[in-house]
Amino acid sequence: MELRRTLTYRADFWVNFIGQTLFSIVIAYFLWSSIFETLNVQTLNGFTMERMIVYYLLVPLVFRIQQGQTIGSISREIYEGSLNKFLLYPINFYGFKIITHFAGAVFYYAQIFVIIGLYQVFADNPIFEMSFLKLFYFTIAMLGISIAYFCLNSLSELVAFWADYIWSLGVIIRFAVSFMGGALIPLSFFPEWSMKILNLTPFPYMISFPMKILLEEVALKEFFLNMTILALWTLVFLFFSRVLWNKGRYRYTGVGI
Amino acid sequence: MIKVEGLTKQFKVHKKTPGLKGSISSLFNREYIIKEAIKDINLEINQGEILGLIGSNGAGKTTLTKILSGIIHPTAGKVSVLGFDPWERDNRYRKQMSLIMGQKAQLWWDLPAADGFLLLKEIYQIPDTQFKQRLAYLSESLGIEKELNVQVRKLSLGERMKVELIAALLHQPKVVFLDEPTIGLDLSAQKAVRRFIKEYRKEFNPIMILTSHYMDDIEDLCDRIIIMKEGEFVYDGSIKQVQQEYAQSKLVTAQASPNINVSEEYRKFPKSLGEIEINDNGKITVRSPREKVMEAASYLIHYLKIEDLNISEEDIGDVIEHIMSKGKEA
Repeated sequence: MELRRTLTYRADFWVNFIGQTLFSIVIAYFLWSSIFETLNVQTLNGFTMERMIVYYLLVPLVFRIQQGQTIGSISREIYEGSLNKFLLYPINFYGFKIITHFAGAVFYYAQIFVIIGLYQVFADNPIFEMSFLKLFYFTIAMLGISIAYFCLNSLSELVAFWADYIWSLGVIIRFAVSFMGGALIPLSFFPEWSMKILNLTPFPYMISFPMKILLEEVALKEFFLNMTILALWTLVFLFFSRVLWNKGRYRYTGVGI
Repeated sequence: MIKVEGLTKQFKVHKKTPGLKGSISSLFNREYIIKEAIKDINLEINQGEILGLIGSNGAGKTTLTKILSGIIHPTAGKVSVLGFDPWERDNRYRKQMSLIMGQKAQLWWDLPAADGFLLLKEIYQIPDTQFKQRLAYLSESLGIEKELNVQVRKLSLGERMKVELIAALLHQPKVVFLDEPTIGLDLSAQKAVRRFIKEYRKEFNPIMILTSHYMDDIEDLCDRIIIMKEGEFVYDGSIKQVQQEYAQSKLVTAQASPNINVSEEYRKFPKSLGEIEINDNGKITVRSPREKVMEAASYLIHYLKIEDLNISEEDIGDVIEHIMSKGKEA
């Protein structure tokens, strides 16, 4: 259903597919070429200009895969009362929402490989190579990250049972994930002391880690360790989501009918 | 069967002082009031019954519907629908019930209704053959076959209500809650929906609870009505009983002969026989006490040389309005 809904509005689909990527590249190019020029360097914290452009070409797509399509929908449904239909249907609400979330991610997942394919074909000397192992690691990682992000985000959205309208909380979560995950600035630019703290949070595993899978070689041990940390965080989010859901539904008034 | 004992529902509502000063102070300090939406009500409804819930806005009708369907939790009391506590949201209960909301679409707005039905088929685990049969039956009965592949948002209000009805009844629920199903519909669409509900009920015998502000819905569909006021039941019985117990008058309508002097006859009409109205076209309406209605009819036949005569019950809407205004003392 969610896939069909995404394909319904053609203009929005193509603008989304092409426009956002172009927008991200243009900003990254002008910003970082100016920084490199000002500092008069070829490499900055392990990034050449080309690597930087590729990073900013792919990172918004990784971020979009993680976000899916349903972000904001739970709090909106609580606020508007459209949660009612999910309470009436004989389905698990969370399960339904996760599947819908994945459906939204599918297109960005396909899009990232189209972009990678075009880069591999047209770049003179691509800075990374794709392999089946990388594809496998990346797919599993994005699956796990997508679930983790959904659980983290839904935790914040369930606050709507108490606060009604919490759009700004969702914005803060998205900003925190994108900043502390490395979507705004690569994490190699962060001070070492901050990385020690950040590595205790789920954020680096949500963006920086899948980017590392694509652009570098990741050993099985590192992959396994990072995915385990992410899984543990996911369980924590799920636990608190369950608590909030069980308490919150007593407060739900089903406004709107 | 539906059984409700001692049901109460309270809402804690934020009370805000009007104006900018009130908005700023509510950032730091909020005042709450407790609103009693339902006060200690008891109810029993049997299989096959169709119950009309009537009351002014805020009487508690929709709150009762939400509790019976499991959307919200009661503050106190026991509720049992088909042997289940709706609040537990057992899937076995949810597969047997349905809520149709006239004011809120449940189908996916951006997709054709047919896509929504396919998803509902999976949700309710309806076998293929039965799904096709039921969809054919429902769409033919409502005359909406051609619109099933059009985006829901592009359908007219009447068409949208029809596809919502199909969506709600595909799984043949045993309990159907209809919350203002004809609201905003034109006359022919209202009639079509009522006709459909009657046929569906005759065919499948579900429990139906109908909330509506349109008396035509109530009169046409309901065996039994409950009138609610401020969270309490002020009347529970059949429409006929309402008229017999509370309608103190009957209406005698007639067409006067063109030869009569209207203003003179108006003046001469005995007040003990009731209140008379005669319009410019000679249509006479007498609101007469029940015990005097035959006498009033005789008077009209004898003195006004009427050409046509009809005796009917007082408008049920007026009677119910009277009960609502009086509350339990009515």
